[in-house]
Amino acid sequence: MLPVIRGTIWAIVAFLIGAVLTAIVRAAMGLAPWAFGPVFTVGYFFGFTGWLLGVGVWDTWLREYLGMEPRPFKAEGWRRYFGFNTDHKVIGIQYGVTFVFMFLAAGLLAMLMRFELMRPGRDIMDFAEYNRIMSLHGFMMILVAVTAVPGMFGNYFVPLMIGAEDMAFPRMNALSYWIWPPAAFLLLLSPFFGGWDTGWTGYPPLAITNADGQLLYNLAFFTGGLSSIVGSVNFLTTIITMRAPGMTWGRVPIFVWSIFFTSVMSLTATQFVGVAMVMNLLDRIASTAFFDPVQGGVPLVYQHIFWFYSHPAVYVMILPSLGIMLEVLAHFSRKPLFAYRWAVAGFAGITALSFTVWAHHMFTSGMPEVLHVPFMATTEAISVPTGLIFLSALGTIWQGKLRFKTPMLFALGMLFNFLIGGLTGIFNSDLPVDMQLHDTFWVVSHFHYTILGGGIFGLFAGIYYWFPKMTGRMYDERLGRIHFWLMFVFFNLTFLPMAWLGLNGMNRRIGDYPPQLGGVNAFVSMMAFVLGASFLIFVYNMVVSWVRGHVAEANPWGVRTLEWATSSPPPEHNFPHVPEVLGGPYDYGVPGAVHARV
Amino acid sequence: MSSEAAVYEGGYTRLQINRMGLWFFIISEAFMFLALHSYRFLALGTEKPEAVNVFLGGVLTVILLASSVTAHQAEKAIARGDTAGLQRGLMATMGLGVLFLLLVAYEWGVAFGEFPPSTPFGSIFYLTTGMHALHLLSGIGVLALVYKAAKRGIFTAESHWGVQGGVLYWHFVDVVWLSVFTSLYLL
Amino acid sequence: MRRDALIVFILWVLLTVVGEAIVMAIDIYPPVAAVEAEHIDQAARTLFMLATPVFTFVVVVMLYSIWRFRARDESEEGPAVYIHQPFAVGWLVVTSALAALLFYNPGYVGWKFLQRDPTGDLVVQVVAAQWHWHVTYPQYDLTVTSKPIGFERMEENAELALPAGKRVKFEITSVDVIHSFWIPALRMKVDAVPGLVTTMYATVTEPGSYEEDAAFRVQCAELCGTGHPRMNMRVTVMEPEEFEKWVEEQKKMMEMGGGMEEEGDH
Ligand code: HEM
Ligand SMILES: [Cu+2]
Ligand SMILES: [Cu+2]
Repeated sequence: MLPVIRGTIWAIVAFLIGAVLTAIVRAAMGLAPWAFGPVFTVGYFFGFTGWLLGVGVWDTWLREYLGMEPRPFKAEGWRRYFGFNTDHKVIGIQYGVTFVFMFLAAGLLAMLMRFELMRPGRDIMDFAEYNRIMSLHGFMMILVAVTAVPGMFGNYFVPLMIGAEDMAFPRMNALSYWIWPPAAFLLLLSPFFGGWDTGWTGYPPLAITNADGQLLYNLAFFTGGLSSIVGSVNFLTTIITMRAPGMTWGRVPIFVWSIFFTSVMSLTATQFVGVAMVMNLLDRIASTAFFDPVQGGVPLVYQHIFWFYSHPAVYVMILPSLGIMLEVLAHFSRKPLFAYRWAVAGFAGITALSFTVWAHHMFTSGMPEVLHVPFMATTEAISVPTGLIFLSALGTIWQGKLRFKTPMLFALGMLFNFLIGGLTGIFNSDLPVDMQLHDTFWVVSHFHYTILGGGIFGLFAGIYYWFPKMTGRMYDERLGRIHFWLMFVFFNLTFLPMAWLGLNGMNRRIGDYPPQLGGVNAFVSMMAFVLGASFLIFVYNMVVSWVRGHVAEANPWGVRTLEWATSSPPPEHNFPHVPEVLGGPYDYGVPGAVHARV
Repeated sequence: MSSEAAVYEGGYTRLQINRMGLWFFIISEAFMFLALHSYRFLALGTEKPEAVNVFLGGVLTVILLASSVTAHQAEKAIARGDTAGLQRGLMATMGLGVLFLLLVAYEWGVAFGEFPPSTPFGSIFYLTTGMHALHLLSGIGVLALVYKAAKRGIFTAESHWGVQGGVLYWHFVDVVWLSVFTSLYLL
Repeated sequence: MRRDALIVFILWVLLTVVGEAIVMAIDIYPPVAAVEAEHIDQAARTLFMLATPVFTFVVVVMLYSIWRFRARDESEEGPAVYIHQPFAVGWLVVTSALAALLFYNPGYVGWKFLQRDPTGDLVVQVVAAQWHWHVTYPQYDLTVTSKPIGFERMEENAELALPAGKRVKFEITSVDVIHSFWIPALRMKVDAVPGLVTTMYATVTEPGSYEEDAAFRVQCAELCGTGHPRMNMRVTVMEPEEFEKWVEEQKKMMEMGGGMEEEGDH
């Protein structure tokens, strides 16, 4: 039986057991047995456990701990993607396909929103529906942005780039992926429970009193966080302990560094959002008083705890993409990565400061006034380490020998978009100006410039760059370029005018706006539809190329890092034997330089 | 290729790798309790109801500290190759753990009348001690697995990562209790 | 190398001059109704002016590199330049200085200006409730309440009047979830939080009304449920004499029970 099917069956059975048990306990306590909140929550945790056990934790793991013969998952062809496969390359592809799907689905929701906003007044949905669709879009996209790059490329390429045969804990790696299906399932299920309408931030008290879909959001966020934590333990240990001999810290490719610092943030900060979700959930299902003002709770504390995670999380979304960007810029300029150590210091500085800036999301929240100035200071200080990344990027292309293949186009496009994202961010961090801009479409423009223009452009740079390595086939370069140009141009046309809208009084998370803003909104919607259509080209290119693209060589780009020193796709244990690293990964222009002997 | 695994840069052994992974996990879990404590201080400052039973908290602390000692002895025993000593130490540790949980359950019952979960202090009290109890329970589960494995005789003086990992985790849960005791009972 | 750098420098200066001219020339800001709002717009302008050279620098270097440094054949490699120490140090110094500058002005200075005077001639108490604004003028014993009836029927909705030239203190709270009290023409907002009273101060300047520009409105700016987009009301800034008259009229309407009925669809 396919493990996913067995996992599903075990999940359903365990869910029912948990639900019935809860009902019995409640009845014994003299409460109404079938209250949705407690029954569903306990059932979910049972079902979640059942799913994990069924899908492979029992066979490959627990049996060993109990002294029985473990039964590792073995399969060939398409089946190997549907079980508890511990090969990091399989896991990378599992992550990739899952989250590209999620991205496209959430993108469709964005199209619906832009359709509604095309004209003032109410068109295709009512305000409650708008809020729910907006929330689902935002939350799914956040999950994509946090997970896609580390999940797909971190898993696939970190071991390859450092010359390891796999991750430090392959079973935990598989676990981190198989935690996701329950979270995705909750999202699919949430519309049937009224969805939720608080946006991806879930602020109480609204989040305590609204429809039951909110509960599913809490559980999904919690579940996703679990996966992030498991994954980051693995990345950190792998990067520290599994580097091939000679792969000193000064020779580690920059993408690996970006995953390293990303993991530092995921490892620690994620716990805060887990706790925030649990508290919110208890307020709803167990009438606790954490954030409920009626019972003496303090709603603002939620925002502190939430943003203590969610600000580092925005760097979790961007750092790995910046790593890809620098990687691609160096290889496609055939020049050493400029100021490599400074770029690493930049990542380190961003990581350290990211824990100190959370309250810049709360400048208008009514928090104590003593907090405003310090948080403005730390926030603006982040522009300095971020500037080091720009130093490295610009220094690298300067005087290089640039090759404008699709990955390079996306890397350059990302540099441009992220510049705008960063500069608009300065306005948000400025206390007086943020009084106007906070919670408006300016902010919507700003974070789409960073997350979509930055993070997702980086994701696409990575997809095109590593496609031949992961699939063994070449994508269609012409279609890739068309995709880039459409996406780049219409991305900017969509999101730049939003900044103006925000400045002129359009707040965010609304299904309606003053009629005088109709013209610009109509323009934005048109541009958004073309932007959305550009992904069709991408999907077509990927599907067709994966099936019958030209067979790719081991190193189609002629670049130096280790993942290109093995076949495309790499064999089961990556390299015939442990590679020996002799020099840096970017020694272009140095006669006779060798990165590694494989 | 696996036979060459020890040649990685830095020469980490499998034992060191496992230990590092566990440490990262512990750091992560520590942040969870940091988050819980941050609610306590951000929402309530250091205010607490009169009814908090510091004496009982003290007893709980002593029990857990004692369990850390027995856990340590268990590890010492297997390092000498003393499997029987290991099993005795594990049993004592799990016993103290169960005693701790029973007392917590008693305290929960009493506290329900004094500061129920429908008050802010009650909420954070129940959640923090509950999360800790959950960790302790999982610690008992881990030690039980270790105990079973010890009975099968798979641990030796040279190789007993299972014991080391389980005991390290146990110590961590104890240290967390000290922070819980300080933030909810003492301050 | 020298030549490339020189050309880039010249282009950068040129583009920056053009950029600054544009930033100063275009007026992308909605109408202003308070001294604070003028300062906030000024702060935004300052930021645009500081951001312009940064933007043009990155763009010029990128575009020039794209144009000048393309590979002519497949085997070409760039020079093995790993770092240019003085440039990197200079970069660090300049970016740090810029960050410190913006922190001080417009950030710190602007914030101190907004906080300069925690008093008001006129007190306006605002209570937010899903999805109404209850606006009370305690000095006049008057309360007006907005209705969530949407932009289509905005002219029927309640009005928040402010006397020109007066300093106004808003005291804001909520009875249910978190809302946010925002008047775009004042360029300020602050959340309405249950269990907390937040404040906002504005020295109102010239007359203006929703009919002129939608910036003259109260708009809830924190997602508060279904009626959130419609949680708004007109704002009118009027001469003090007119304000007195307005108060009398409103009181009369209150006595007649007009304008208070629950209404609205979502
Ligand atoms: C495909 C093009 C996209 C379009 C046209 C689009 C459009 C929108 C729109 C109209 C909103 C609602 C604004 C509001 O009413 O407040 C929104 C919200 C949001 N979007 Fe997108 N979006 C796109 C892609 C993305 C991507 C790629 C991401 C991140 C990876 C993303 C993340 C978000 C987030 C986090 C929110 C905020 C939801 C909230 O307020 O809770 N979007 N987007
Ligand atoms: Cu932030
Ligand atoms: Cu609202």
